Formats: sequence, structure tokens, C-alpha cells
Amino acid sequence: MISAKNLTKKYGDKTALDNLTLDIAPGEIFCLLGQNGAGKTTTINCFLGFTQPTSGQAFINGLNVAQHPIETKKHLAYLPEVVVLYPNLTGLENLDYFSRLAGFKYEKAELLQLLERAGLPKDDAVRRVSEYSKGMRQKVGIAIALAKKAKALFLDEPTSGLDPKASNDFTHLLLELKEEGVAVLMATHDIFKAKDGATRIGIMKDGRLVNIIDNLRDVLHAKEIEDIYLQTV
Amino acid sequence: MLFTIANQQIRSILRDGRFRTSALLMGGLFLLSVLGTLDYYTSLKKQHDEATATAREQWENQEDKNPHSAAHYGTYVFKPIYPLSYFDPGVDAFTGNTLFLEGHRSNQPKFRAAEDRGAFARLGILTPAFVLGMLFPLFIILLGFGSAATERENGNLRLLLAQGVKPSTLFWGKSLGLWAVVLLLVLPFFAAGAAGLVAVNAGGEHWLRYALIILLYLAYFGCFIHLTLIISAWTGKQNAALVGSIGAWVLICLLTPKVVVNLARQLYPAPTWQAYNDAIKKDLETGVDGHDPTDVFTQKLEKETLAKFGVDSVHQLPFNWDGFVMQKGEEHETYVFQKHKTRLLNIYRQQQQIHQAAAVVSPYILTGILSQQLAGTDVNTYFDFLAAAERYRVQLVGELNADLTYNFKYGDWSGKRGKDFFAQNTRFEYASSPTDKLLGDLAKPAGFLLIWLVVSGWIAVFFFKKMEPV
Amino acid sequence: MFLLQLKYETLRLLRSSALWLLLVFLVASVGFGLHNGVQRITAKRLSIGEMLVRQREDWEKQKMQADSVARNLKKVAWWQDPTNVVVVGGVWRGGWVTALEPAPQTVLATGVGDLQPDVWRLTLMGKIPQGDGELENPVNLAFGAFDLAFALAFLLPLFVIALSFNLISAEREQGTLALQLAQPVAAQRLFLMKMLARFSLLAGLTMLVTLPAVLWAGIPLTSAIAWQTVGVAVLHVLFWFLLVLGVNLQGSSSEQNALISIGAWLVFTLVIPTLVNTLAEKIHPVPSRAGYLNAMRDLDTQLEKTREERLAAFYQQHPQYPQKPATEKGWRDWYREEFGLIEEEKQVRDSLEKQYEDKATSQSAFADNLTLLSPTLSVYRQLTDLAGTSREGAKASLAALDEAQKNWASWFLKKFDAEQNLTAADYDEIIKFPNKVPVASAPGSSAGAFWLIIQCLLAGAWAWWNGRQKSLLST
Repeated sequence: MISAKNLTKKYGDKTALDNLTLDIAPGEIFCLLGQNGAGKTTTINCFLGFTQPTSGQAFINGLNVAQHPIETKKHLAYLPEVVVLYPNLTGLENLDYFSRLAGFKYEKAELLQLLERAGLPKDDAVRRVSEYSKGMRQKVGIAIALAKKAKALFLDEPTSGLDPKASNDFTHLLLELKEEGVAVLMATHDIFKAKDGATRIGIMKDGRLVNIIDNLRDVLHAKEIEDIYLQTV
Repeated sequence: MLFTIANQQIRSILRDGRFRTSALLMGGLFLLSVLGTLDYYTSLKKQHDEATATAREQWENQEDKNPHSAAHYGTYVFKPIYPLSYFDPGVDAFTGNTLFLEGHRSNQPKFRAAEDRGAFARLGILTPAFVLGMLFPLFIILLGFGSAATERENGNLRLLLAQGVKPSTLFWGKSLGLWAVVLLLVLPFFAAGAAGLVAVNAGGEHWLRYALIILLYLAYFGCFIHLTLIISAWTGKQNAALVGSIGAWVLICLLTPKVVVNLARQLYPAPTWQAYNDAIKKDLETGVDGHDPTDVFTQKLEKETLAKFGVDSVHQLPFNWDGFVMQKGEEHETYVFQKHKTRLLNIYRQQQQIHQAAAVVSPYILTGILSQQLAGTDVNTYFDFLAAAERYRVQLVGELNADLTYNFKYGDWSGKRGKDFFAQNTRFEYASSPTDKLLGDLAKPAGFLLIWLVVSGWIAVFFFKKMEPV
Repeated sequence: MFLLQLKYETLRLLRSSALWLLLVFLVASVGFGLHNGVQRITAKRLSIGEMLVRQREDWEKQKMQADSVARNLKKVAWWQDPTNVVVVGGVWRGGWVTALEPAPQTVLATGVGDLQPDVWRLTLMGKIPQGDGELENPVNLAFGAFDLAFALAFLLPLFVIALSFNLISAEREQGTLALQLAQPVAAQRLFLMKMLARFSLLAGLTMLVTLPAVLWAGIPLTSAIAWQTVGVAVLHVLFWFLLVLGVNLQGSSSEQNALISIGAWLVFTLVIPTLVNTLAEKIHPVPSRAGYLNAMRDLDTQLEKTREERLAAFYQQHPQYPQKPATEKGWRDWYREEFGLIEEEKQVRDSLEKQYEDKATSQSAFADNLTLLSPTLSVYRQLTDLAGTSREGAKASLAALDEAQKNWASWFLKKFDAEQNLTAADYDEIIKFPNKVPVASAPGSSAGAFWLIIQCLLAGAWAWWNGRQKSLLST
């Protein structure tokens, strides 16, 4: 579903991505761990078409991102790190807007259902986003992703700033999506969460994927993962 | 501790790229403004001096004529131009440059410089007063709007308070820092401005006025420093502080003056021309008309004078009856014109009181008033000049009428006076008001400005104390 | 897509408290500006009305007197004789009071209107001002009027800036920009529609505020001027919108954008106009009229000296007129000579006047030629032209007055030449002379709008250029 072949991105002398090759199948949750500046966000940007790679290709559902920029976006959903949304609009209106941009015209009842599934009750959905906590906004972001019925999901630091309950809710939802066959690429710092939900964990350093841990096969403790991480970076 | 904070403030400002660009811009504009207006002033002064000399020459060389006819010939006086008018032209462009002095009429001044300009000219010209009054406060705002807000937003406030810094000390420190930066930039400006005074060979009195102008603007900047710090501390957020400060500037420098002036005009309107002239005409008819022997009042005067001197006919009076009657007519007319002029001036004064009242909101208005008064380009100095010109007119016409009355025989209209006579008529000399009188006039607005400064400082300390670390 | 953007831009804007505050500010400014304009015109009309009513009364009285004198019921000196053509037509006294009638559109901009006399007296020799301008407190003139031109030129941009400075930067900072670009939409199309929607809103609000205000101030809906005024306002909004958009496309933070936009506002509204004026004054200085007065006096003396020769020439050209020695000359002879010499004397005096006029005109024209440098100048220029209160408009009005004066003078001079006296019937004819001349619009009065359009194109080009250089997402 999500795949990169020799993806390279250079900014002048600086190499942000160095020959990255990666394959994520449907129903897989792949966590990208790495320092700030290791290339996690750049990788996501390449898949989203926000950045053009210097060489190599990115594919979504078999389509080359560079050649089919709009087509590929139909199949993916994105949850950025900063999910502030439009403060003066309600959660419902935000969802409606982004869904329509994606080409989906939902009725109000359907939108409320999506928000419910994402964990946002109806009473909250009709209040302005400016009154939401980060967790609530996160849920709207997830609803936006759900509304697209996308097969590929890109998450950038989704649990940063969330309280434990919200974080837990989020992980549950991710696992549900995994069951539905969505391929997930998640960039994160949170080693514990990664261990909890990930199918595989990739450690990035200086634009390269230096270590891939198969979370299902090798049952490692979080502490061990942390050690590997610290050794690698 | 105070100086530590001040130093930190100074350093952070000076290192900011914005300081350099805006300082250069300000400096450039100020220099341009001095260069631009200096020429205008020197040329205008020369023109008016020449015109005054020419007018006197024309008076002395006028065709030989009867002295009363000379009163009808009249002469011109021209508005005095003061050295500091290059610094702050005040209302100069809107006051008439010329005044025609003649017998029997107290004229309005004519030919305002603005009449020979296009509509764009009303958008203002670049003068030092404009740069200092309008633009420099923005410079202060730009450098100071973050002073308290950034400390609060990035958590430094918590640290500072934990270190034992008192909010008031924080305020004084920030204030001192801003003052240092302001002085760093503005003292060279004032030096450049002073060069202007040197260029025009201004006398000692004008240097004193210039010194007072400097103090005035420093007090004005102080008001803005306090205001910026108030808004910074009150909002506690950088963005809000910026919007609030700019909004305050728009209110103080742009909106309030225009709104207040337009309101005052409507609250105390000047009379229509028709009403004004009608009132004058009506009053003129209540007294002697020097040119109309059938006039009721002239006849009454005749009877009284004859009785006073115990003679039967005007031929027997020990002076020229024609001249005497002209002078009496003149006195009545002068009185009437004066009465109505005073009434008009009172209306203007009421308008100006409203302007001063608005100073509660806008120190810019106060500064404008003081700056203009010191430069000699305010409206009251102008009215002073007009009053002096009127006194001169009365004196000159009095001289001419006296000559007719005592040196000519009654009925002899063929007698003429020539150059030697006209040459010894009084010249018009006008000196601006002495400094002690000026200081008296300045006291009230200056007092208000100081109050603004002190109260704003007090309010700033209050908001600094109220600031809660985030 | 456009409708979607419009719906949500509207919702977002209407729900922000900033919008309502700014709207109140805009309404207050436009309203106050027009109120001042209306008040000014009302005062002018009142003043003019008083003068014309007075004139009417005086002439009725004079008519009665003329009747009495014609029937030899009354004896008066020639200089007070109401049947005397010259006395009534006016030389130094007398004459016909005519007013420059303020049109409804005069409310738009004060321009030079508060410096020029509104009422003139037409005489046989020319026209003499007789008006209110002299009684205004100089302080009021110095501060300038808060008219619609001020509101639209200075305050409207602040409205636009406040609502657009974070157009793109806020979306970037809120993460909605990235979210939108992750949807299957062409970035350019999304962006274009969004900008169009936002501009439509701003333009719509501006129209909603300006048009009713203009109508309330007395300019009829059917008049082109109402629409031209609204057009100027919308064009001005477009300029600032494009400029702030360009600033946004440079990719800085909202705070930076605000600072830069305010800086641009300062430069365009405060700094450039004053620089233009200073430059105009330096390159085309206009001397004080002090010299003019003295020169005029000298001219008069000169003319006195050459009077004899010119009179001789006059009598040579007109042998039908008897040449009498001074002691035998009657008023008719004196005035025949005056009228005979006046043309030439006027030319001489006008040439002196022209020297000063020309300097003033070239300074004004120089400044006008720099209109391109700032939209503030364009707006001001267009509105003063529409209102007839620009320098050219004032001149056009004076030209119309000169026409009226010629008509007045020629009617009386015909009677003078025919050696007729005025009868009561003549008075009835005289009172029919128009006592009002409409304030004229300046010729070529779309210059301001033209430059404003050019400025919008330049701003648009700058925004487009910025858009090409940087990706929307870069910080």
C-alpha cells in the first residue's frame, strides 16, 4: 500500500533522506522512530507530495506520487503534528469542510457518526474547536481521516501532548483501523506507544533507515527497544 | 538590579535586526525633513523681508496727496516668519501672509500659502515635527511592544519573579532600557535639527525655545514609552500587544486630532460671512460716518464740538473739522471691528479648549500645541501679530488724520503731502512675545503633558504588578 | 469549490469578534466622514442662502427706489443712483452676488473646498470673492477634514490589513494548510478559490458599508458618482488585499506579516504623500503672494503713468466719443474711458497673476504626476475630482463664474453704450440672472481610478511573483 524505493532528498549539501526503501502492507502499523531532523517528517512529506524527492519514487496503492499527485491523495489520510483546525468553526463544520474537499458530501447525521467513532460525542461536536482540548482536536483530525475511507494513513507525532486517556483511546482506534486493513505510517518519539501498537518499528538516523525491529516476531521490552534506539542514534 | 534589567533590554533591542532598519529609516526621514523645510523657511523669510521693505518704499514714494487720501492708499504688512518654523510649520500654510492696512476698514488677512497648492498638499509635508510627532512613536512601539509580553509568554517572568525582582523594578528597568535606546537615536536628530538653527543665524531666544522643544518631545516620547509598556503588560501576549499599541497610536495620532477638530468646529461654529458682516454693518450705523456729513451722528458730534469750543461754525474751530470728523469716524469703526473680531476670536478659543480637553486621550495634541507655540507658528501667535498690525493701523491712520486736522485748513482739499512727510510716518515693528509671557502660556498644556507622563507611568506600574506569569 | 470556500470563509469571518469590531470601526469612520461632509455642505448652503436672500431683498428695495428716481420723485447723487447702469452693474461696489452651488457629491471630499470662497460678486470689471473661507479658524484648516476621502484613503486599508494579514500564515500555523493540501485538490485551484472568496467578502462588506452611507449623504442611487465612489473603495480594498497576500506568500509568521503590512501602510499613507509634497515644493516652489501684492502696486503705478498715452490711443480709435478736459468730464465719460482701457489693463494684470498661477499649477501637476507612487494619492485624487474640490475642479468652477460675469457685464455695457437708464422692468430682467453656478467636476476625472487600477495590477504581479518563488508550506 505504502512503498518507497530509494527515496532520496537533498537540500543543497544536506541529505535529508538517503536511499530510503520501505514497504508497508495493508493492515500494518509501521512506526518511525528517530531524532529531530532524522528525516521522519521529510519521508511523510514525500508521500504526501509536499516535497519532491531528489531521486527515487514514492508509491501509494501502486501509484507513483510524483506522477499522480491528486489521485494518490484520494487513497491517503493525514494527521499532522499540529492539529489546531479552524477555531471559529465547530468540530462538525471542520469535518464537513475537509470531507467536501476530499469529494465526500456527508449528511449531518453521518458526520456526527464519524466523530462519534473517533471518540468525540455529539455535544462536543457542535461546539467551537477553540474550546476543545488537544485530545478533542485530535479526534476531529482522526474523523477527517476516517471520513476519507483511506487505505493509507500518515501520522506525525500523534500522541504528543495527549493525556493518558486520550492517548489510550487513540491506540485503540489505530488497532481497529489495522483490523480493517489500513496501512499506517506513524512518526513518533513515544517508544512505549510504538511498542504497544506497531507491527514494525523503524529507526531513522541521518536520513537512513538503520534498524527495523519486527515487533510481532521479536518480543522485546520497551527498555530494550530504548537501548537499541539510543545505540543507533 | 534596575540596571541589569535595563541593560538586558538595551542589548536585546540593539541586537534585533528591526532596530537597525527602522533606525536608519527614521534617521533618513528626519534628515530629509530638515533639508526639505530649511530652504522653504529661508526663502520665505527673505521674500517677506523684501516685501516689507518694498511696501514701505511704495508708501514713502506714493504720489503727493492729501494725508487722508494716503490713508485710503494704505499699506501692506506681511506675516513674520520665525526661525523655528522650519522645524514645525504649525498653521503657517493656513494663515494669511498679507494684510492690507487702510483707513475705515479693518481687513481680513489674505493669501494663505495653502491656496496656491493642490489637494494633495493637505496630506502634509515632511517636517521634523511630523517625523518626531507622528512617526517616532511608532519606532518606540516597534521596539517596545514585546517588552513585558515576551517575558511573560516565554516564561521568563516566572523566573524573574522567582529571582526576587519586584514588578515595579521590572517596569523601571524596561523603561530605562527603552529610554536609552530612544535617546541614542533621537539626540543626533536634535543635533541635526540644531544645525538648522545655526544655518539661519537664529538669536539666543530661539535657542532657548529649541531647548524647550527638545524637552517637550522627550516628555512626549516618555508618554509613549509608558503607553507601550502598559499595553505590553496588560495584554501579556505579543500579538495582542502589537495590535493594541498600533491601535493606540492610530487613536492618538491619527483619529483623535481629526475627530476632535471636526467636532469642535461643529459645536462652536464660526458665524456665516453674511451674519458677521451684517452685525458689523449694523453696529457701524450706530456711530459717526466720517465720509457722510448728513449722517445723524456726525451732526450730533458737530453740535457737541461747536458747543465745546464755543463757536458757531466749523470754520471757526482751531483745527480742521474734516480731519477731526474722519478721525472720530475711524475710532468708531475701529471699535466696531474690534468688538466683532474679539467675538470671533472667542469662538476660536472655545474650539481650542475642546482640542485641549481631548488631550486626555491624546498627548499628540498637547505636543502639537506646545511645539507650535515654541516655534512661533501657532494660531495665537498669529492673532497676536494681527492685533499688533491693527494697533499699528490705528496709529498710522491716526497720524494721517492728525496731520489733516492740525496742519490743514478746513475745506482745503488741495493741500498735499509728499515724500518727506510719508517717510517720517511710523514703521511697523513687530517682535514676537517675550519668553516669560510665552512660558506663561505654555504652563497649562505643559502641565497636562506632565500629568499624562506621570499618570501613565503609575498605570504602567499597576499593570506590571498585575501581570500573572503564565 | 468557490461556493464551498465562500461558505466557510464567511462562517469563519462572521464568527470572529475581530470582524465585528473592525466593521463597527469602518462604519463609524465612513459615517463620520460623510456626516462631516454633509454638515459642511449644509453650512455652505445656509451661508449662501442668507446671502442670496439678502440680495433678493436689497434688489427689491433698489427696484422701488429706481422707480421713484425714474419718475423724478426722488433725487440722489449719481453714485447712489439705482437707475445708473454703472452703479448697479457694479464697479467697486454693487454687482451681482453669485454662489458656487455645492452639488451632492461635494460631500465626498473637502479637497481645496475649505480654502476657496463659495460666493462671488460679479461686477462690470470682473469678479470679487465674498465668502466664508476667511472666517475659518486656521487650526481647523491645518488639521484637515475628516471626510469620506480620509476614511477611504487612510482607514479602509487598516480594515483590510487587520482581516487579511494572517490569511495564509494562520492556516499554516493552525495546520489546516497542510490538512487541506493532503486532500485530493489541486493546490493552486484551492488557493485561488479561497483568495477569491475572502476578497469577495471584504469587497462585499465594503460595498455594504459605503453604498448606503453615500446614499444617505444625498447622492442619488442612479447617479454614476455613487457607483464610482463605491468602485474606488473596492479597488482600494483590492490593492491592499493583493499587497497583504503578497506579504503572506513570503512565508513569514503572522506577527511578521502584521508588522510588514502596517509598515507598508505607513509608507503608502503617511510617508510617500509627504515626500511627494516636499519634493514638489522643492522642485516647483511657489513664492509667497507678498511679492505679488507689491508687484501689483507697481503695475498700478505704471498703468497710471501710461494712462495718458493709452487714453489718447483710445480716443483715436473711437473718434465718435467726445474728448473733454478733466473738469468737464461727467461720470459717463469717466466710465467710458475705464471700460475702454480695461481690456488692456486686465491683460497686463492677468499676466502677473499668471506667473504665480503657473507656478502653483506646475507644483500641483508635478505632485499629480507622482500619483502612481501610492494608492492613497490615487484615492484622494479620484474622490476630490468626483467632488469637484480638486484644484482643477476649483479652476473649472471659476471658469464657469467668469462666463457668468461676461454675460452680466455685456448686458449692462450694451445699455451703457446706448446711454440708457435702468427701469423697473429692467430690474425684473436683472433678477432673473442666474445667481448660482454648479460646482464642476474636473475634466478627465478618472485619472485617480486609472492609477489605482495600475497599482492593483502591480500589487497583483508582486503577489504572483512571490507565489512562484516559495512553496506555500515552507516556514
